[in-house]
Amino acid sequence: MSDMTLHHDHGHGDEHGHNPAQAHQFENMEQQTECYITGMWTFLVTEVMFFGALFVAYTLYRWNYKFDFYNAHEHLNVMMGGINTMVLLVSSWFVVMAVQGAQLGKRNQVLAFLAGTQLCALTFLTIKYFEYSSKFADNLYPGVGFTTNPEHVHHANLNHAQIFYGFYFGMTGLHAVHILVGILVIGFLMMKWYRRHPSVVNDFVYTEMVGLYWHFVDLVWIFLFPLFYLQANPFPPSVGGH
Amino acid sequence: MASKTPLQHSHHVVPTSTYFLTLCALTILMLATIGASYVNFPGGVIVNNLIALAIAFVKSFLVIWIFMGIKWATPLTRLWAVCGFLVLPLMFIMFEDFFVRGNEVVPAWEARDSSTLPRQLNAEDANKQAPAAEFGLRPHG
Amino acid sequence: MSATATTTGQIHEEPGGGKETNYLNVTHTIKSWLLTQDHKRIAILYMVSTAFFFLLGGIAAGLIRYELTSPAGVMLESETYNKVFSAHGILMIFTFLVPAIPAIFGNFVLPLMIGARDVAFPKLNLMSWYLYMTGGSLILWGILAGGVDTGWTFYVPLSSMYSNGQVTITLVGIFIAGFSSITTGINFVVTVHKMRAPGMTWFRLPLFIWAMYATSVIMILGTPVVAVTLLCVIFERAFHLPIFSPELGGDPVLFQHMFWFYSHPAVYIMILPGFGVISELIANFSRKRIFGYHFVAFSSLAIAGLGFLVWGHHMFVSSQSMYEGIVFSLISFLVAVPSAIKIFNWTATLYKGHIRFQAPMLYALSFMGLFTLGGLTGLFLASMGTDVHLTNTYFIVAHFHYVMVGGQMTAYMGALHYWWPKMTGRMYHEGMAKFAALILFIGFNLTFFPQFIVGWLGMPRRYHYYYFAPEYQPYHIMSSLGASVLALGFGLPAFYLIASLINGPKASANPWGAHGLEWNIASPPPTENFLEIPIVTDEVYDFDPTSEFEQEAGTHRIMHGDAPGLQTKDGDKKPMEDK
Repeated sequence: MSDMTLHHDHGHGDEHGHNPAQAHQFENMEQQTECYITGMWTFLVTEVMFFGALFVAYTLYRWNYKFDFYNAHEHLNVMMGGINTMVLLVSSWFVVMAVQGAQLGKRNQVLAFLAGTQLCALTFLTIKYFEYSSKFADNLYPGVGFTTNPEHVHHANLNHAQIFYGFYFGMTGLHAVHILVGILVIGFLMMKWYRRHPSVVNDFVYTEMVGLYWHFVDLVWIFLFPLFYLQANPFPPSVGGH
Repeated sequence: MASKTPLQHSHHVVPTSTYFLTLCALTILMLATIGASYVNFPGGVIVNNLIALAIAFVKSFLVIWIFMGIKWATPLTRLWAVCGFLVLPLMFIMFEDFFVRGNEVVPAWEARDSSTLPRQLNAEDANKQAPAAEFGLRPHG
Repeated sequence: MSATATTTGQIHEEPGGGKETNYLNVTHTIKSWLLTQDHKRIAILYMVSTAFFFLLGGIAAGLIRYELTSPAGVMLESETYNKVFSAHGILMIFTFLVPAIPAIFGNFVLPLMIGARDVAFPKLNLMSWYLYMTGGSLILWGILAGGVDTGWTFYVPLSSMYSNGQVTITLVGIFIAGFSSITTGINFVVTVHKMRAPGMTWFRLPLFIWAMYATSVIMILGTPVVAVTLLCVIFERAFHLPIFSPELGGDPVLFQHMFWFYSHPAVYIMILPGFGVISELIANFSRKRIFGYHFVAFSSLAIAGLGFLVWGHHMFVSSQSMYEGIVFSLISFLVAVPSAIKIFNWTATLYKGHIRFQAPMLYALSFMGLFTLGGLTGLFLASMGTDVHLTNTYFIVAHFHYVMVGGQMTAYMGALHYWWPKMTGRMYHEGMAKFAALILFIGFNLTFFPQFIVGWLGMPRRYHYYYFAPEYQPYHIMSSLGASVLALGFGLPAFYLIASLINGPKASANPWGAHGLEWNIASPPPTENFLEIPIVTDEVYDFDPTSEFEQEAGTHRIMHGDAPGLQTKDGDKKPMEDK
């Protein structure tokens, strides 16, 4: 393990002055840092309940309609989903490296890795765009225009396939919105780092908070991917697949 | 050396090697989960699903423990991380309703087959439509 | 010993005896109010805006009661009536009851009670008010653009498919208002954990803080679920993504499960802060330590926890399985126990206390009676057999109005009167306040007690007309007359409280002789709350009559005829005398 020192030790040295990054309602930096981290985790708990409710609903329908959901899911592109998973994992790594840079005060490291995260996020959205386009092209968006071609849903019940795609677009769409928000927030953070804004330079906690959010987005995808793309075959071996 | 005193906990700097190894582990697990979905484990579809979920849990544990830093976090933060995921299963109580709906023995209650959410027990049921559709209900617009 | 080691020196003394700087007069521009990060100013902002939405919801209530005076309706069409009761429910629940006590009194008093300078995240606090205003405005826009006829419960498939009302915009408004709730909850939880003054251990906290903490936990865990449920309805309606559509094999009862998973804990969000207020009022106005402090504190947490396990009692007749209903029924009976523990403990606190019947105490006593009634009638509804008869009747309407209005609103009025001198630095007219409390009690019972009866007799709720059962009319007329009296009970305080701002007598730091860190600082407090952060050495409810604090602050003065409500700064040093 290499020896690393913290960047803003000078903030603790002064007994009577405050670290310029310390807000007025706090007594010391430790309290502030722990408040921010705990606050961010509390927000993430709300997000867990937010996505969790959707997972519960999806699990219920999949349990009840497992044959139709399995058939319908075969039209999803596992390769694209897998690449997206890899992209998000790598982006998570980029983000922790950026946080490490913030802790060490290495602005270039922060900016480089945050840029990498942005790149990964944009890659994710691009791949998502191609996935969605192919679904739209096959008329797999639910509604009155939903396909009547049984091939596209691999001979699943068309109504139940609509529900499957309702959840698919709803949950991956919501996830994509979170990625978009993440891109905006990381961009904002990058701008502050670029301009050497004292609030982010003197206190790593803001970068850490953004990092925590990004890891959560990754976490949701870690569960979305197997649940939608990698379903186990519920058909008994004699009946076989579709 | 990274200090373990409480004051330093929020400032603990994690070495790059730890992060990179975690990334490698996550990648391997991801490949494992893709691979496992193509293998039919003995025990049927339930075991397959459990394995997929188990791998997902291990991956999420790694992300939370290392990437999100819970390993080095204060007890309060750890409590929060745990609590959030503990309350989520409460919602699964909803399932009890759907599990036992078919068990009504009171003659006046409708049998399972005509409930709104017919459970597909057999592969032959795969194409069965919901009865509500037979009543001519159509979506709005 | 009093609650703090340093009781003096917290009040600004301007050298020339001039006007003290406090959070109200430190700056005067509108910008300083709209961009404030001071939790006290944000509380005032919430007070004004929630009062506005309460007025709108009250007008809707008035329309409902007027409409029901005749069995065939009076002036509204049926669809309009549906929109009016939906607006009443949505406005009252989402824009008034859920934020009211937490966002106003929680914001104002919570940092003061724990000895902090502000909440943990002041900017987030301000953002939560803007989220509230945005959500409320969107809901208002939905109402003005035609309203929704689905009821505040938005059951599918009516709301997702067949309703012709402004469902989407209203749901977006509720969604955004929900985030206001979540951010307030995050703020409070982190503040209570991390920003207590030195020496303020968990069991030295006032019980209001315990109640606010439990409320915040529910807000954090429950609100996201309703947010995503309503989002699913928006998905269905606006984006045609089927989640609950029965014709495609979806399940409308799933919506009900997900909706009530939040909305039942939501009623605990609404009542728990009221419980906290009542603990403060009962202790301070009977000058006695709350009986069973630990029980009351833990009962708040128990209500929060158990409250998440009972949502199915709203769905006994929804085709939910009977076996699940049994489980929910049992746990619903259990969740009554912590509430009962509180009522018993408050009663035990009153016993042999030095009770003063000032206006806040009248509201507290009123709460105890009305909430008990409301809670007991809840048991009728928790048992499945009687619920089959009573569900969707006026019995339910009466039950929840007893606990919401008789409980929460009464506690709100009590809190308003209790902390008014602290927030504004003025005292209101005590006689009018007592009269208004009495009017409220009478009007409330006149309005809602007949509804128990007419509900038991079978009058369904949410029905525009009942010409097929004209024998219900006398009850409805009684209820509507009572509603007029109730309106007076709510209107009078608006009048004399605002009048007090203009020419009410100035209040001292501690006009009630109450205990708590917030009473050690000036009324109104300075922006930074405390000159120096107090060090807490004892529990908060210590009413030992021989202590110096009691001598100075209250007991002997109250018992020996001194006028309550005004107090000189140096206090009387008269020894205890017999009358």
